[in-house]
Amino acid sequence: MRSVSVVGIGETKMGRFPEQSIRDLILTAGGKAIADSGLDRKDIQAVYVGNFNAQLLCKQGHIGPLVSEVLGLGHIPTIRTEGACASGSLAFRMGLIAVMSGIYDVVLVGGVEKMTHQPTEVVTDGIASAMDYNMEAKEGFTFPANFAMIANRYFHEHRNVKKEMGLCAVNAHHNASLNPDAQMPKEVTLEKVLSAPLIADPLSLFDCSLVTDGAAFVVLATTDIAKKLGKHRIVEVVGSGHAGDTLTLFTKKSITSFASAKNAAKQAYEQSGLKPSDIDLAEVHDCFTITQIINIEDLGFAEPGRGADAVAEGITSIDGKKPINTSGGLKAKGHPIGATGISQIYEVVTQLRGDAGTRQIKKADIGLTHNLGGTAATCLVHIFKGR
Amino acid sequence: MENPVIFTYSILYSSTDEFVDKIPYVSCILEQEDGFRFASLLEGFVEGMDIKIGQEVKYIGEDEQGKVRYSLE
Repeated sequence: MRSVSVVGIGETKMGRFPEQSIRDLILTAGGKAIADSGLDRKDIQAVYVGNFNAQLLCKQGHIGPLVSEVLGLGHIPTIRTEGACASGSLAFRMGLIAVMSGIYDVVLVGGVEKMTHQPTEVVTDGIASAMDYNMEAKEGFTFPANFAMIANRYFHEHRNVKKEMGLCAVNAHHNASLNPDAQMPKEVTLEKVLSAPLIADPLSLFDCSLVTDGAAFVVLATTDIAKKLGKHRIVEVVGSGHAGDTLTLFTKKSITSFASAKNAAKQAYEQSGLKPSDIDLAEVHDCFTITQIINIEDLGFAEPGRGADAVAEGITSIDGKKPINTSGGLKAKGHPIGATGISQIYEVVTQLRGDAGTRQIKKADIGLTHNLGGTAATCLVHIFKGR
Repeated sequence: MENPVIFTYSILYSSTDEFVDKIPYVSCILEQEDGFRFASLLEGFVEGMDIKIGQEVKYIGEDEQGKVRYSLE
């Protein structure tokens, strides 16, 4: 297998953009990624693009050729990947495998989602297609409900961590306030978070991630090509893990720790020869604040049941020992579903290059991304190393 | 068989069009004696009611769509 590096990155600002179409979002993010790489568009041999819900929310399928048309990539092969909220990371891993194996030398991978033009009920119903529609959604389950049930079970098995969940939201908003691409770049207080209206008890408004329009793309190439380009610090992909679990929540053995995440993390750590203590920063899938606490444990950054302690002690803050979601995360940077996994990679590469401006962390040599799909039915973990 | 117990639950204050009229309502995972779990919408919730994990629920029959229904009371 060949060594592969991220040679170009690009993303749109995340937010609510009624005047922008899927085409516009792809053009901005994809165009930036190709320009950032220093490669010519003719060098790109294939496209892998994650999208979850455009067929329902925008009546638009066949996103692969849309990307090649918008970016002028000619007759190259294109593939759309779908794995709910992990669609973007899935595209990344498919592109990675293709370059590692020698099929291609340079590929464009990305994700795009346009959601905010639809009413909340339609978006909630659309997202519910990432759970079992007949057995869960038709029983009145929503994603906030699923993760609220996870939170209540977590409170039962460990302790009530509602306050620490609130701190996750406070941290996310603080970090987003330093990120020019973030959808909600404003500070919130713990009092405001804890007094917000309930969505699905115990989750309130600030425990939930955002509904977002946005796109993010990266160019992957062999590390040999990356060395010749010499434009940026080389960011090598040193670990890639992908694992799954049952689709439904009620069939999972554990709902307070996710088997998909633990398995994907184990693969990525083993491939890279790295351990949790080696990771300088991580972008984790905080679809809800309780998820961030569980992710911290599943990735080995804290013992089971102690993820909330790590948050309360400031370990996961931007100036802590293990900064989590320096971008603002799904909670405050935004959650453009099919693009989220790539948006996470965009942040890690930006930090490893030292280009994160006011949110730049001091030591950024090894970064990790963790992207969940559905009710933790899919998980991808990637580890990146700056050379 | 004994009545199932609540494995976990949430009280919903926001939902899809289909269920918005039922707000606030209780989504839960019920667990049978033999360990089998399933998703359910619990009937009989009124605001302020105390719900606990491990609490037994009562079988109340099938609804108009033929779905088995349980209640908090």
